[in-house]
Amino acid sequence: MSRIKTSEELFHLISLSGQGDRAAFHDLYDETSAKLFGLCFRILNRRDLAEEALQEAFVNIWHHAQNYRPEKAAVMTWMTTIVRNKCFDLLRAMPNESPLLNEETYDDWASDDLGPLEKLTERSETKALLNCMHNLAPLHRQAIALSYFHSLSHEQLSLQLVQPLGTVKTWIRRGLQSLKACLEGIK
Amino acid sequence: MRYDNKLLVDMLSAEYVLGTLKGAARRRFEQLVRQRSDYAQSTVWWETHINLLADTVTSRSPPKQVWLNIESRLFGKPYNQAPWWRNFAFLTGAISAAVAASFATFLVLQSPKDGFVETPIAVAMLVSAQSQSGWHLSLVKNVQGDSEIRADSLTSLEVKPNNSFELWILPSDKTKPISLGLLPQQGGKTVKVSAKFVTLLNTSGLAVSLEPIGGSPTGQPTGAVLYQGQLVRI
Repeated sequence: MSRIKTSEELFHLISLSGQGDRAAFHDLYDETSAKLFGLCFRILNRRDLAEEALQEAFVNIWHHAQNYRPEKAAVMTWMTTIVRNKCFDLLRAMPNESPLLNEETYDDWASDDLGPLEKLTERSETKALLNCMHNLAPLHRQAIALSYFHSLSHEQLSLQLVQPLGTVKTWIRRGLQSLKACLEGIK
Repeated sequence: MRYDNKLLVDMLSAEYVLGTLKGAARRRFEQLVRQRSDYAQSTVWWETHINLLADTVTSRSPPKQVWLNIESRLFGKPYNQAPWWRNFAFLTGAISAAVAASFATFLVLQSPKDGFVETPIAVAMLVSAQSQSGWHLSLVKNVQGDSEIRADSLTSLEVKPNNSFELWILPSDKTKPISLGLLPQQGGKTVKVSAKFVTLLNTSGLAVSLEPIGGSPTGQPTGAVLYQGQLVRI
């Protein structure tokens, strides 16, 4: 596999795309689509919908590339937000089919061995996040991951985790506070 | 609400980015982000950090078709008129009886869209081992000059509500099957086909496998091959 592009290189590609450079846009797609398609698959759990979400998201990315502002978000953060929102749009369109039903346990981060997860990324920021997620209480971690990948509300989380609403709200809030303290402590 | 409480700003931003802040509270928050820099800054911090969760998923290469669809939707392709001799060849009836029968089905199934019917370049019947017909396929060029396969499910198709049917190119050189996407279980569907695959289709077989809803999770056939066929030029 080739070396992943740095955020400066991605910024260069998105800037050119914003000026209408199709070749740069193709490079940007080649560079980022596998990770973003993996995200779509994780959220939607269906290949056809994941393909549709990725396609719709990249059409949006082309149209909005000129509005990209580096001071607001890194390129990958910006694209991830667009892709995740597009996946959630499709998720909302199929209310009777919850991709969660097939999922037994969610907690990849519960394992003592973070090795396999760490191999998925070369980014040091992601490794820091993985470590901080690993340090959370398992239920806090699970509530956060479920919300992030499945767009669950507090109410849906409380049903999914079979816990009172107040408990779930506390888990999320404590989890997020510990996560922030941990990430800021690393810097 | 105590909108100035630093912890509150932080937690609202976090839950906004995470997605647990919904409905009216979410809209109120979006308004605050536009008006107040502390909300905006806190949201940027959480967007940067929470979205790293997306980087922890396993990468998967999307099928080539996804890029072709994006390219065709954004940039289109110049319109190529079908050469006159293609229509001529069709009109002179220099085609086999089987293909003629197949094409008759096409004419019945294909209602004129926007006042024109595109002429198929090649057609195929996908048939099971028990000689039951499942789909009729026709390869056409659309008005943009792109190749498309129109798949029409036939009434003889045995519907599988808990599965998807996926169409594959079986290259004659025995390399890996290439997915052309899912076939409809009722009605018709059109899929774009890249120029490279059109050439490949001249010499390749077609197969339909039974897959989980949404298609093969691996990108290669995982279930039984139930229907087969081959495109025949007309």
